[in-house]
Amino acid sequence: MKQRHLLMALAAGLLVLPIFYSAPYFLHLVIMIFFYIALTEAWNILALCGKVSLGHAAFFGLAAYTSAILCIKKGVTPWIGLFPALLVTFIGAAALAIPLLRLRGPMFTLASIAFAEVLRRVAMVWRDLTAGAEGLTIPFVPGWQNLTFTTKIPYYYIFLILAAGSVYIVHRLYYSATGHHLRAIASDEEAAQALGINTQKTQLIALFWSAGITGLLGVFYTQYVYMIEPEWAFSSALFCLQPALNGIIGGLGTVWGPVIGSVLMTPLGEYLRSYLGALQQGLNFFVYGLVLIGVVMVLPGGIVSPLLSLFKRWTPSKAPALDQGGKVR
Amino acid sequence: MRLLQVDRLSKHFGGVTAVNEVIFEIRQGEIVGLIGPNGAGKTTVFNLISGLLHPSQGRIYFGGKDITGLRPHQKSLLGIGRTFQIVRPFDGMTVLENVMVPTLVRHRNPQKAREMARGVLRDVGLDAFCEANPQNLPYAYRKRLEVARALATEPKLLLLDEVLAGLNSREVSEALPLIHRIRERGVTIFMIEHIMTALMSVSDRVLVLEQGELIAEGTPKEVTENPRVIKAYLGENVSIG
Repeated sequence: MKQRHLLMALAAGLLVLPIFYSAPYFLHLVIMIFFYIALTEAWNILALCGKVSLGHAAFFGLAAYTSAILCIKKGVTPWIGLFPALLVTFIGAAALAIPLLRLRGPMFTLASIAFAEVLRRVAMVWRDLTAGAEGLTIPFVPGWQNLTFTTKIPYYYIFLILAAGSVYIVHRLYYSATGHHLRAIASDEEAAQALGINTQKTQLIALFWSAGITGLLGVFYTQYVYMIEPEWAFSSALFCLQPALNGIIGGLGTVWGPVIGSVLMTPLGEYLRSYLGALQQGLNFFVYGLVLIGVVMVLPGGIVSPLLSLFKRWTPSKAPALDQGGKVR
Repeated sequence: MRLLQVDRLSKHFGGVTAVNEVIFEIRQGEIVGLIGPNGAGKTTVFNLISGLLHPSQGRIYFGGKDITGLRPHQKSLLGIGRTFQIVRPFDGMTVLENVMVPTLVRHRNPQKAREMARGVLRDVGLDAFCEANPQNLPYAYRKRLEVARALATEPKLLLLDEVLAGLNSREVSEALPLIHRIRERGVTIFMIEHIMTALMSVSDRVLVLEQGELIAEGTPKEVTENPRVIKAYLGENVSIG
C-alpha cells in the first residue's frame, strides 16, 4: 500500500532529522510545528461534531498550572503531575459541557471564549497559588525526571510523539462508530438523534478527548518553556485562535487538515512575528487574517480538500468512485 | 397484537393546539396512513412518537411499554424508525457512510456496520451509489436514501413522512413495491402521505387528522366516503391521481 509506505518514510525521516541538522532555532521551529499539530488535532476532535471552540486555552492553562505548581511547590515530577493535571482539566471540561450541550452554533463559541477568559482572570487574581502576573519559573534541573534539558533534542522527540499520537487518535476516532456519529451530529443533530445516536454522550466523548490532549500538551509545553504566567497559559491568541486558524485553513473536521494547517501556518507565524512584529505590533495578525480570508474564499473545505483528491487520484482506492463531481442521472 | 398505542395525546405550542387528545393504535404488521390538510398536525404526531417533541398531555405506549418521556435515540433503539419530510442526508459523507451512521449504533465494528449498510442499500436499490455524494443524487434517490437510513436502525415501526411527495408517477410506482417489501419483512408502517391513490393502494387503514383532531378512521374506501372527511379535506382539494 502506497499510503503506508509514504507514512513510514516520513516517520523515518523525522526520527533521524536531528542527527543531521540540529541548529537550535530550526529545532525550535519543528517543535512548534509538532506542538501545533497536536494542539490543532485536539481542537479538531470537537470540530468533528461541528462545535467551534475558542476556549481551549482553558484546558491548556488548567493542566499547565496544576502540574507546574505541583512541580515548583511540592517537587512533583511532571510525569506524576500530569495525572492531577488531567483530572483538573476534566473538571474544566465538565463545566464547558453545559454550554456545549445547551447552546448552538456561535453561542457555544462565545461561551467558550468567556470560559477561558474567566480562568485567565482567576489565575491573575489568585496570587497565593499562581503569583499572578509575575508568573512562576520551573526550576532548571536537567534530566528526564524534571523534563528540562540542556538541548532541544529530547523535546523534539517528545513533541514528535505527541503530534504523531494525536494524528493517530484522530485517525482512529474518525473512522470509528463515534467518529461517524460526530460527523452526523455536525451535519444534522436532530436526524442523528432519530437514527439512534445518543448525541449528548457522543459530544461529551469528543469534548473529553479534546480537553485531555490539550491538557497533556499544557503539561509538556510548560516544562519546555520553563515558566508560566496567566497571560501566556490562558492566551487566546496562542491556544484558542491559533489551533482554530490552523484547523480552518488546513481543513475543518478532517484528519490531515490540522497537520497541513500547522505545517504551513507555524513557520509563517514565526516569520511574521520576527519580521513584521518588529515593524508594528500586531501586523502579523493582519497578514494571518488575509490568509484566512483567502483560503476560506478560494477553498472553503481547507487546503486539505484539493490535496486529498490529488492524493486519491495518485493512489487509486479499491472502490471505484462513481460520480465524483457529476450527477448520476 | 397492538404495537403502538397513543392515548389522549396533546401538544400545545403556546396558545396553539397542534395535536388535541388524539387516540389511536397500530397493530403489528399493518400499513397505516395518516392524512389531513396542511397544518393538521401530522408531522407533529410523528415528532411526538419519535421523541423529537415532548407531549403536553397524554401517553404513548410501544409494545405495551410506556415510552412517553424517552429521548429520540432511546426510542430508535426500541425500534421506532423515522424519515424526515425534508430529506437531510449528512453532508460530507458518502451514501454508504450515511447509512453506516445508524448501523454503527447497533454494530460498533465498522466492518460489520459497513456490510449491514451495503445490505440495506441493496434492498432499496441504491447499491450502485455507495461511494456517491448524496447531494449529487436525483431527488427520488435521496428520498430512498432517507428510507434506507431509517431502515438501517432495524425498526419494528417505521414512520414515513411523505416519502412519495415530490416524486413523479413512475417514481411513485417504483417506490410502492419497496413499501410492501418492507412490510413483508415484518416492519409495521405508519405513513403520512398526500398522494391518495398511492396511499389507498398500500394502506390497510387510514387515519384522518384535521386541526389536531382525529376526525375519521377506517379503510381507505370508508375514509374517502366519509362525509366529514370529504368536507374537511377532500371536498376542497381532491387529489385523486
